[in-house]
Amino acid sequence: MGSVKRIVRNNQTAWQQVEENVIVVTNQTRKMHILQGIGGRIWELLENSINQDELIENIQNEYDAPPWQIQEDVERFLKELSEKTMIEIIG
Amino acid sequence: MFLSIGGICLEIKSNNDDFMLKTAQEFSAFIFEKEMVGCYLIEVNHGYVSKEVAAINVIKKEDIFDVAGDEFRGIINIVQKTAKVDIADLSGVFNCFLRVFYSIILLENNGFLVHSVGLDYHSKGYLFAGASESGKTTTARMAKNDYNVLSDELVMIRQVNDEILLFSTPFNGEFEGFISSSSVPLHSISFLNKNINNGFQQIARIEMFAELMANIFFFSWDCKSNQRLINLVNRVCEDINGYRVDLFNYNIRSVINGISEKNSSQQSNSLAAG
Repeated sequence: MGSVKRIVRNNQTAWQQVEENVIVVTNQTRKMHILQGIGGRIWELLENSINQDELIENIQNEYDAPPWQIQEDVERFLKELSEKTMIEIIG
Repeated sequence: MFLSIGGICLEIKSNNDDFMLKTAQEFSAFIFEKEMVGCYLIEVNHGYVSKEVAAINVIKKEDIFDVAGDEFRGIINIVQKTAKVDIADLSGVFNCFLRVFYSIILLENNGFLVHSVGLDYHSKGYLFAGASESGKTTTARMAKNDYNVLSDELVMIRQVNDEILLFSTPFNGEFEGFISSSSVPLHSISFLNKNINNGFQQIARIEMFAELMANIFFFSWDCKSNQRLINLVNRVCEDINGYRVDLFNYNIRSVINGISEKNSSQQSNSLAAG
């Protein structure tokens, strides 16, 4: 069964695209984070709330790597974003 | 009394004559004869009893900032352009409050303060940023005979009419030289760093962005303020080249000449490409 988790950017963040990177400043911790490469693309996809499986599928379609590896990497990355209060997981 | 710092006018009011006299002496280079349009009003009250706080605390509620340090507590209304502050009667406390005040109102005026030494050389602004103990005051002392020093502690960057300007401030470290009220177009931002080969090296925009953010004097915990700040930092990093420099092992003049030549050659290349 697929994931029902929906994910969205925490609206208490400020961010800016800098070349191919995204700089994110979290209001809660007031720390600055640099998202590079796929990280920046995931941030872009999180503009509106998105289902976790849908997000992984988007990345699998765009990047040339084994699907299982992308799934593992994206899940790990989302966990990290959540721990850093950069995203909210709904449901 | 009116002050103009970074092109932003302040009217200072206090019923303590001794405070007004000392403030006039401390900020003599920034005193302005008459009120400018859009002036901020700061009312100063005295006799604040010092309270130890872990760090300067800023709380924002709508347009009002409540700021507190060890020796002052103030309310800043950014829409009405007013502030009321209670200060302890100790040397340097009002200067400390003004630094916090400016860190807040500057965002409304497309600017921010950077931990840095600023130099004006042939009407070009060179900023050397670094944390405490990174060599800012030493740099100012090395440069004072050949360059106009804008500050050795906190220099102001503002976008004015689409131009990025560097402004002198009275927010100094231990530099003993005279600092006048002046501004100059920003030419480069360098980050003080020992052991750089050849005295200086250009850095990538993302690295410059991160380094600049780390050196900005800023206390807001407000998301909109953060967004304004990083938008402005991005604009600065798009327009200005960033470098790492070692001013301890290299002559400041050779580093500035090197940066100037590199900027000029890049400008020529981009003009030729355009």
